[in-house]
Amino acid sequence: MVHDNPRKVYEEYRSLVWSMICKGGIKRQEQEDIFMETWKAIFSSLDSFDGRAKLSTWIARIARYKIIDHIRARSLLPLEECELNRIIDGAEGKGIHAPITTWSGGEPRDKAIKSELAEIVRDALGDLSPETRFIVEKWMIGLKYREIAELLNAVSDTPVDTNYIGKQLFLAKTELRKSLAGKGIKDFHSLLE
Amino acid sequence: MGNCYKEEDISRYLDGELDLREASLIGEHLKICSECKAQVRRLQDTGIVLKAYCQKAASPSLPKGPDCPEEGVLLAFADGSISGEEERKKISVHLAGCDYCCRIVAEVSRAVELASDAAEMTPSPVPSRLNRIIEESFFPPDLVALGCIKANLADIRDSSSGPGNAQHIVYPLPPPAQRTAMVAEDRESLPEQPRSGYSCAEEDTLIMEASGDIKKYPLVDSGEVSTQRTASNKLSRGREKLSRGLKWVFDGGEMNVSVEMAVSGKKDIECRINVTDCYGFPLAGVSLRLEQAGKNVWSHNTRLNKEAIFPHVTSGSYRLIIGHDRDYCLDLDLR
Repeated sequence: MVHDNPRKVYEEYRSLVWSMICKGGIKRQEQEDIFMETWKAIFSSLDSFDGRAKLSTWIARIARYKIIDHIRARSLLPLEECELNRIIDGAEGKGIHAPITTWSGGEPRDKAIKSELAEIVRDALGDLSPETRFIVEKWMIGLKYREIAELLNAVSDTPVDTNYIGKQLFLAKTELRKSLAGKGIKDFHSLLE
Repeated sequence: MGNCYKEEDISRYLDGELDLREASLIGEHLKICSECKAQVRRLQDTGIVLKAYCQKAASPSLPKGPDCPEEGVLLAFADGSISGEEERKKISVHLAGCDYCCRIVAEVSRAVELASDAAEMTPSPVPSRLNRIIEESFFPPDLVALGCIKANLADIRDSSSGPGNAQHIVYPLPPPAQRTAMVAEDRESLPEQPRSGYSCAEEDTLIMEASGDIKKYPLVDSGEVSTQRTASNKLSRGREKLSRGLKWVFDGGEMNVSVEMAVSGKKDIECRINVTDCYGFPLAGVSLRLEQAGKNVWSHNTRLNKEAIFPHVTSGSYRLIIGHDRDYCLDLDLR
């Protein structure tokens, strides 16, 4: 087993970890710090790897944690997941990520607006059918369409595929936008910045 | 524009659910189409509002339930290592009702995605400086095992009867792989005529294959020491009390270690350790550390003009760590 031998693990996966770290928009010195921290964490917990998942998955998860830890530690403001992803993926990342979004904090007026926004979202989610709400909630957590479809198929008799999930999500987003527009909130981009 | 994409496709694009080809086509289109770009912005905003709401609603972190599977299972589920339909279904049912586990699966999926994207990039080599730091921090060089000396202290006390009393001892370890050969000096095999000064070790030593027995030889009265032409004996020559005992020599290529168990003037047994270069000259600054049951019992840094002596040897198992260009270890099993 490779994971019994830390040196072999290092030799096999060092390039992967380094590439993951280099992918993001992180300064060189910081990249090296994250690399060291990642391997320190990997070696100290290698015994806990139970071999059920792929070793690369286990290592990638630790590396991503360390990247996130580092970015969070150097940020003065709390970062939301989407902003973290933007930094982790780097400028050349395949996804299009939004600008910095901080739901909490800010001026009292902003807080009030955001609190109202939260109420509108809650109401909009409440108006969705149970199935669509399930899909939206799982998507909000971060699951991919494929995973949501698998979960839904496990608890429902009607099989669904990723196209169905995509469609439902799109409809839910459209509904939410309408709800927000109905409350007079059209350009909430500016509210979130 | 005529070639505009459906909003639904743009939504999938933003969710990272399109394959690379489709994603790149939409990406190209977005560069030139302001209408689709506006659509992207609207969808992006909605998505952000939803996800940000989710994070706000979910904090503080969700608790792990008693039925939650182990993390290893969730990792294996996320990366597809669990492929059995029944097992996947069972975990899926749990995930459908457990946001705590869903978060783990989502995190792992993102990590796998990041790793897979990184693997597709042109690999950038890890800087050699960084490699070196990792090597030094996490993989200190292994100890080179020189071998094991098994000796009976009573034999050492009684070994005054001369060369005829030479005994065989078993060398229990396999031959060390790293450029280390074991050398035993056998007084009987040495040339008859006494020599003076130092000479090359090959002339004086009998190189054993270290596959079976090696010979130890008795130390002799100081008057006969001149037949032994090693630096250690040269050093020992001034010691009038050198009387009887046994000696082993280990040849580490660039370094020779001789271990003498000798009876001191007080009838105690002392262990004299000499480290010389391949020409027999004493090496200074070599760290010697004697451990018993993992505890340091004696340490010494070699000097050119002073022998390293561990006094009052008692029975037990010791490990001598010799730090030179790297760490060597020699086990002493004394009964």
